Parts: sequence; C-alpha cells; structure tokens
Amino acid sequence: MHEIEKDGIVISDTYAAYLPEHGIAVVSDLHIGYEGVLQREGVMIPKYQKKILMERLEKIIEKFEPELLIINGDFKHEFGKNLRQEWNEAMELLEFIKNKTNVLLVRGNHDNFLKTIASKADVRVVEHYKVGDITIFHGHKDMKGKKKIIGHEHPSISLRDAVGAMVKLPCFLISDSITVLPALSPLASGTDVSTADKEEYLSPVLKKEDIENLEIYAIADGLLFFSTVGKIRRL
Amino acid sequence: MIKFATRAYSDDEIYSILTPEIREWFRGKYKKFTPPQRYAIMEIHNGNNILISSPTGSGKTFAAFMAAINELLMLAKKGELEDKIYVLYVSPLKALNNDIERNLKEPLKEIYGKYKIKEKIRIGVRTGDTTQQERQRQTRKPPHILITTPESLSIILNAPSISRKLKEIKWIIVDEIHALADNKRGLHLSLSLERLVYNMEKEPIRIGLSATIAPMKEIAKFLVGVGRDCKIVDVNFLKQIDLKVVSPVNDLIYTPASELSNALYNLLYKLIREHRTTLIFTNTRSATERVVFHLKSRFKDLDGKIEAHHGSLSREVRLSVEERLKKGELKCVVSSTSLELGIDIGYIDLVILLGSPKSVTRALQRIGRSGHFLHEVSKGRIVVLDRDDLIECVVLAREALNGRLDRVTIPKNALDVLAQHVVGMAIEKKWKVTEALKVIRKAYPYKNLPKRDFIKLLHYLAGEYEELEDRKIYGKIWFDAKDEMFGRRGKMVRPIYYLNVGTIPDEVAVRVYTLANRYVGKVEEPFAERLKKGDIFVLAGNTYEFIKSKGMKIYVEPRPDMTPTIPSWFSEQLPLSFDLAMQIGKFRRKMEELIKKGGVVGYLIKNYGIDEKTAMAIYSYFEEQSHFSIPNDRRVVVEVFEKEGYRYIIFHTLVGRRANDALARIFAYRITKKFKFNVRLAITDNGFAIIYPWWKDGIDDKSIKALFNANKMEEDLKKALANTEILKRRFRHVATRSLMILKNYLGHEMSVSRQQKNASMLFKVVNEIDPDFPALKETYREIMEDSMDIKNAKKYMKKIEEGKIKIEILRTTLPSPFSFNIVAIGATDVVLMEDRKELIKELHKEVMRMIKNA
Repeated sequence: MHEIEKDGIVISDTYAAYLPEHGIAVVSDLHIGYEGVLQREGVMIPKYQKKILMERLEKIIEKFEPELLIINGDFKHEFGKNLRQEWNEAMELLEFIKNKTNVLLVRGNHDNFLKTIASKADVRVVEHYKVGDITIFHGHKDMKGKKKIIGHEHPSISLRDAVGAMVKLPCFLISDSITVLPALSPLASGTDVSTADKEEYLSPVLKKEDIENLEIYAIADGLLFFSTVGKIRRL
Repeated sequence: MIKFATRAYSDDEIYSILTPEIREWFRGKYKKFTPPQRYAIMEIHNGNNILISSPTGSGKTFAAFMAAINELLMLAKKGELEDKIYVLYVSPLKALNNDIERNLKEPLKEIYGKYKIKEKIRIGVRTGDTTQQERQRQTRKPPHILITTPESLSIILNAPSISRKLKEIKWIIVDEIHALADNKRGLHLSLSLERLVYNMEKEPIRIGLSATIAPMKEIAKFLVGVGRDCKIVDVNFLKQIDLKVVSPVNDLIYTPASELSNALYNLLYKLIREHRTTLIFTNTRSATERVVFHLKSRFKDLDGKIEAHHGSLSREVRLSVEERLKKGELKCVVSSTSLELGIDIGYIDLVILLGSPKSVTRALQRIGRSGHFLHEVSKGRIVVLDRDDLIECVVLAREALNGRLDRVTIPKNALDVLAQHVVGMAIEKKWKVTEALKVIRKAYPYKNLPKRDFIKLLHYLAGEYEELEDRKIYGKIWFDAKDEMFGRRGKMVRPIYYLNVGTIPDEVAVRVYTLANRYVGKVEEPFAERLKKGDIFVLAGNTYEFIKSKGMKIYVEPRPDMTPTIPSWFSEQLPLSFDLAMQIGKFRRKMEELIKKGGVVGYLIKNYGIDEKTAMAIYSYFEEQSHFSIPNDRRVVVEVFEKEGYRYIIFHTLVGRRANDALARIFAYRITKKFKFNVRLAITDNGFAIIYPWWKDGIDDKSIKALFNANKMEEDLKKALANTEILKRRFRHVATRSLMILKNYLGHEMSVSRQQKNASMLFKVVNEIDPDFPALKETYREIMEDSMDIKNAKKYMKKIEEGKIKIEILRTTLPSPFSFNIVAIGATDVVLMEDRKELIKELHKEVMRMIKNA
C-alpha cells in the first residue's frame, strides 16, 4: 500500500498528507540548513539534505499535482542572519517549488528570519491555515480545531524482532481528530513512539490527545500499518 | 638491521666511560651493574638504538638514562650546557612521569650535594596537567631532560617556541613501549617521532623500555622506524617465576554458586594473610569493586587495609592508593588493568589473577609486578572459577613457565591517527605530497601506506566529499591535487589541533544501579536508549533485568538465571589470544588421545604441576565431552540443537576471541543471505553460536559445511558489520580522531552524548554518499583488524579447506559440556538481513503477529 485515505485526508509514503477535496498537499519539518549549523558546532558534515528534499518534493508534486503545497513549519533549521549559504539554499528550494506549484509557509518554532526569506521569494507566511474543518499548523503551540494536521513531533517507530534486530522508520500518527506528519528532513530525529512516555512528547497538542489510540503508519517501501501507539508500547 | 645485543660489558668497561662523580656515586650506592645495564649502557654510549626488555627492579631506568646523564654532567662540569632539550622521555602514563622525575632528581641531588659542579641539569615534566606558568618557564629556559606523554609531545611539535628547542635532541627514551605498540596511542607516537626527527642534522638515539612482550623484533621496528638499526636486550629469563593454578573448590561444576563464592573469598583471604602485600588482578572494573566489597565485609581485619584501583576512579583516589601501597599501609590492592603498567607501587610479594588473563604475555606482565628485586621470585596464583577457565589457565601456566609469549600485532595504516598528524604537519609548513609521504612512511606502522589512501585523506581534510563542488565544506587544510601540495588553511586550525589531538575516545557513561542503589557498571548511551522494560542483558558477566531509566542512570534487578533477551554488543571481557587458543587446541587433542589410552591424571600431574584434585576435574570434563566429540586443533565440532524456542548452531572454533568474532559474523551473514532471516550471535573465547527462532528453516549439513569457505571473507565480514551498533560506535571514535567531529571547537566543548548523536547522523550521510570515505574505511579496518582478527580467521578457514582440520556435525537434543558457556552468555550481537526491504517486511510481519498474540 502506498497511500490510505481517512476522512478526506490521504496519507502516503511520500511523507505528505493530501487533501483531495481542496487539492492541497502538506509536508512538514524540512530543516534546511541543518548541516551548516552542525558544521559550526564542529561537525564536518557535507551538504546532504537539499538533494533528498528536492527529490521528495518532486515526487509529491508529481503524484498529487496539488494546487497548493503547504510547508507546515520548520522549513528551515535555526540559523543566524549571516549564513549566506543556508539562505541561498532556502531560496533555491522555494524557487524550485514555486516553479511547479503554489506554496505557503506555516511558521514553526525554528523559523526565525523566515519572513525575510519568504518576502524575498514572494511567498506568504501564516501562523496556521484553515480549510473546511481542517486546521493546519505546526504544533509547537496548541490551537483549536476539529481536525488538525501538525508537524513538529517528527514521529518514528523502532521495531525489534525475536532475535533483537532493530530498525527505525519515520511514521504518521493519525486519529479522527489529528494527523501528525513525519519530518521531511532525512536528518531530523524525533520522538520514538514505541518507547516514549506521554510526557516525552514535544507538542502541547499531542499532550492533550489520546496518544494510546493514535494509529501508526510507517514509511518504508510503501506505508506499513502498525496498529496503535498503545499496543506497540505494550509489546 | 634489528639484532639482539650479545655482549654484556664488565663493570670496569662501563666505569671507564663515566665521569668520576657518577662512577663514585654509583659504586658507593649500587656497587655492580645489573644485567640490562651491562648490555645497554655501552651500546647507547656508542650511539646505537636499543630496545630493553627486563623485569621490574632490574635497573631499567638507569640503563636507559645513564649514558645521557653522564654526558650532560660532563657538559655541566665544563659549564657548556646549552639552553636546549637533550633528552626526551615519553611514557604513556602521567603517574609514571612523576616517578621518573623523582628517580632522576634524587641521584642528581646526591651527586650535586657531594661535588661542586658548575651548572645544574634541569628536568621538566610537561603533560596535560602542567600549568601555563610552568610551560612558559620551560619555553624560556628549556629543561635539559623533558619528560612527557605521547599526547603532549604531539602538541609540543606544533608549538613554535618550544619545538625549536627540540631540534638537537640527542636521546629519545620511550618507556612502557609494550603498552603502546599495539594501539592507536602508539601509532600516534610513531608519527610524532618521525615528525620530530625530520630534517634533524643528526638523528637522536632511540631507547625503548618494555615489559615482557613478543615479538621483540616487531617492537624494535616500531621503536626505531623504517631503515634504522636497533639492538635488543631481553633479560626477562633472569626472573624466576613461581606460577600455579588454584581452584577454590574440588568440584567446579556442581558446587552451588554461593558455596563457590564463599570458598573463593576464603581462599583469597588465606593467600592475603600468608603474604605481606598482595595485588589482585580481575578482568573487569566491576569485578574489582565486587571483590573489594566482599573481602571488606567478610573479613573485618582487612577493613582499611584493602583498596580498589582502576581507571574509573578519580585521580586523587588512585594516587592515594598508590601512596599507601608504597608506604606498606595496605595488605591488598585489587585492580583491573590500571596497575599493569610500571608505576612504582613498592613491595608486592604475591600477585593473584582472578580468572584467566587470556594471554600468556599479560599473565607474565601482571605477575611481574611482584618480587621487586631481580633476584626475588615473581609469585603468581591464577584462581579459576569454571572448567573452561581451568583448562585455559593450566595450559597458560605451562606456556608462561616455558616463556612462550603470544604475539601482539601492530595496527597498520590507521587513517584517523594520520589525519591528526597531517593537520599538524600542515600547520608547520607547506608540503609536497611526496615529501610528506616520505616522513610518514618512515614510521613502521605506516611503511606501506598506499599513496591513493593518502591522497583521499588529503581531499577529506580539505573539506571535499567525493570531489563534488557543492558538497565542499570548510576544510582544515588546502590541497592542490594537480601540483600535489598541501598546507594549513586559516587561523583556526592551530587551536583545533591543540584542543582535539589525541586518540583515546571519551567514554559514554550511563551508570547502572540496582534498585537497592548498588552500582553495577556502565553501559553506553545508545544501548541504554534501546532498552525496554523487562529486557534482560549482560553486564560484566552477570544478567540483569532493565527496570527504568532516569537521566544518565538506569536501574536494574539482578536475574542470575535468566537468558538475555537483548544482545550487549560491548564487552568488558579480555579476549583469549590466538596463540594461546592454538595451544589449548593441541592440549585438547592430547587429552582425547589419553582418554582412549588411559593415564590422563598422571600425565597432567607430571607435566602441568597440578594436584590430583585439579587433574581429576580436567579429566572428568573431557570424559563427559568425549561422549559427544572433543573439538581440537584438527577437528571443528558443530552442534545443532533446539532450546527454549530457539535453534542453536554451535561452532567450536578455538581460534581466540578476536578471530572467533570475525568468523561468527561471516557465518551469520552467509546464513542470513541464504535463508533470509535475522540471527543472533553468541561469541566466546572457545567458539560461537548462531541462534534463531525454531519456526524458521532448518539448516542441513551440506549448508553448514558450505559456510566454511575461505573466499570473500573480508567482503562478507564488511557486509555483516554494515548495520551493527559496533560499527556506529566505532565510527564515533574514528570520526572524532579524524577531526571530523571536534570535541573542542570555538571555545565549546561537545558533550559525549552530543558527539554520539552527531556521529550517528554523520555516519548515515557518509555511508550513503561515499562508502570509501577515509573515516569509514578506517572504522572497518579498525574493527576487522584490531578489535577482530580477520587475518587469523582466514588462516584457520584455509586450513579447513585444505583438509587439515576436519568438520564434524552433531545433531543433539542437549548441548555438550563444552557448549555450556556459549549457551549461557545469551547473545553478543545480531546480524540482520542485508536486504532492507525484506528485513522491514519480516519485522512488520512479526510485530503484527506479536500484537495479535498479546
């Protein structure tokens, strides 16, 4: 299975959620410029994300042909004013999407200076975006809404078999009221839903949710259903 | 030419070269020269390089320093001492440096007290602990004798002011060289020495000091580098050894654990009481603590007179223990490895080795800590706690008494250590690649460094990944590939080098406690992270259940009788050496022969100096095993059986732990590839097990035999390692050593857990974009050649292919006695299917099955 629709929201192994009624695709947590920040910490990490992010975005746009692509927060990693290279990279990526479809940025917690970049690229930045009964926002702060789509958490699941083999996969968490997107960034690590306690979740939105009953869909070669957070944790 | 020194000079000959002051002082104090002094002093005086291996208390320090001090004193008398460093002394231990300083200062004080000598000979110590003022003083007025560590030496090399004073060094003394030759600290030093002597008008004389070690010729080459002569003095045979194996109980198998433990502590107590000062070596730090705890609480008269000494203790605690030992205030000290080296610890009359030391050389080095004077006997007792230990130690003791040491190997072409030095060299000046290679290849561990590896390393240090322009990052050097030149880039490189040089990785420590708050040991953070409630794992030889974690602490409960559910891929255990394993293989064959013919017990008593009780224990172990089949140096036995829902394939390959480790992973990889499931591995000194759930396929005899194939072993091992935690953990070490992750940068110190996170990210990226990247390549090399032993694994497999070793497959319902210890350790690691798609599919299936059954 490559995608599944629930209640007007399609989740897929492209890391994106898609709203067919509205022609909107939503991705989250690109963390552009992460490598640059690491380099300044003293880690000789090469540029790595841009190519993968572009490939992933291209696939999403090809597959859904959305009228609007929403980047649901943390488009860029936190970096200072003067990191020219990271700025260029962010601009390049925005242009890349803009050439294919419309794009909208939702502000996340890492998005300092986002406005400056966005205005240069002529892209709008919003705190949240409402469409029908769905509210799309990053999730580092709570918000009202009947159905929410958030990022921020970077959920992943680690699997262990009888001999102790272990693999970690990014995943969606979904219920009737919420869809948590996996990070589009290949580097960002996040919450391991197979072990994390409720207090360990980052998003205040999720702290109020019934986490136990969130369904897990992991991204491998296709989407893999893994029942609920509660059941996985009790294994 | 490397050859043994053959001439022992007479007292008169040696006295004839000494200044009258030293001559009289020495005559008054010691009268005669010791054997190492007779062999060495004249050779050094004549300008020859020399490697001296001799027992504790044989006057090694004077043997090394005498010729130099003599010349310095001659200059001092004439008032001709210059402001430069004449003697460079390097030892791996800071504590040893202070001892040496004292041991040199005292005689000089006596001589200066007695005679009027114009100038003073200055001695200075420079380590990480040296204060800023002291450093500045040393730069202004350099000591004539500089005492330092390998790490500080590499920093001095790049400190412009003091390095100038090093340009006319006449003597280089490397102490405790046996503790350096087989590891990366030693490699680091070998390059430092080549950088030091490069472009010197006259090459210094190199003097190496070593405990007993083999092969001496290799160590000598390591000391002097390529193309230089060296003479070897080995007088270890002079030391008399009294070494015996003792068992605390008559029956090592049916005695209950509590009784065994009682008997052990009673035996230790008895031995401690019978001697003045006893040094006990355990094989792990946690065992050290355990032994001290039990002895203290059982025997009140030992309270306050027994202490632990190991690397996890603070420096103050260790120093105080050493001080009290020297003063004779302690009855007993328990140590893991920290007291193996030559720190002065005063008078020890008994060394107890608790459990097998796993190598003849290590046994002799440890026992050599007793009997402080040359004429005194070194007395050692090996206390064994199970039957495998018993056999191992009985064979080991005989090898030790016959002086047959096992051989160490010097790691070759390590790229991470080289990376540091290349940065250091670039700071000095611009280099031509050919010129730099010439310097590097003078160091013995790098004598065959391929040029393409070096060029690739230069590209990496220049910040280029797979030579792609948009992946270029800020490099530490510039490299002009066309003209083959390189040099330093920017001003930041110097502080980066100073603050990040060194080879010892930071330890990640999550401390493990029982719920009753008893400290058990440490595990690495990523291991702690993957623990789930109820997991059983092994730490320091005991099994524990994981209960909860709290910050950097985890809590567990002891579960002595349970099988581990999760592999602990780290191991504190010392590995059984290849050479000793070979001897045990022969011994097993002899036992098999005698069991058929009769006369086992008599033979053992006569040839191995053990008592009847011990001989009987060995006999019964072999007798029981003979109902299955006795694996030996000409027969590898494979056992297949099922136990508690798992199928076990046990391979009794007795090739030493490091080669076993390689074989086990290669076999596991071949199985996962052919049968498409993940397997668990249990690796011990005597063999290994491949374990998988019983519901998976059976593996027939033909497939088992097909595993023994000497082709593509390196490739298969590499693939088997690709997904493992070992690889990721080692990568962190290599990446920090390669200056890929800077522990200290722009005034910030990176915490170990941060290093770990960054390393795992880096690993993922590098692995994807360039599998041939220097740091990754070195990680594989280090694992395969240093921590495992692919070379001997290959030799062994060849022998099997040639039919010199026969394969025998047994399908049984029970494990054979020789398998007990392999089954008991649970799991060492897992090997995953290479095909990630398939792997995830299987995992998904299994998780969903488990949820359904839950």
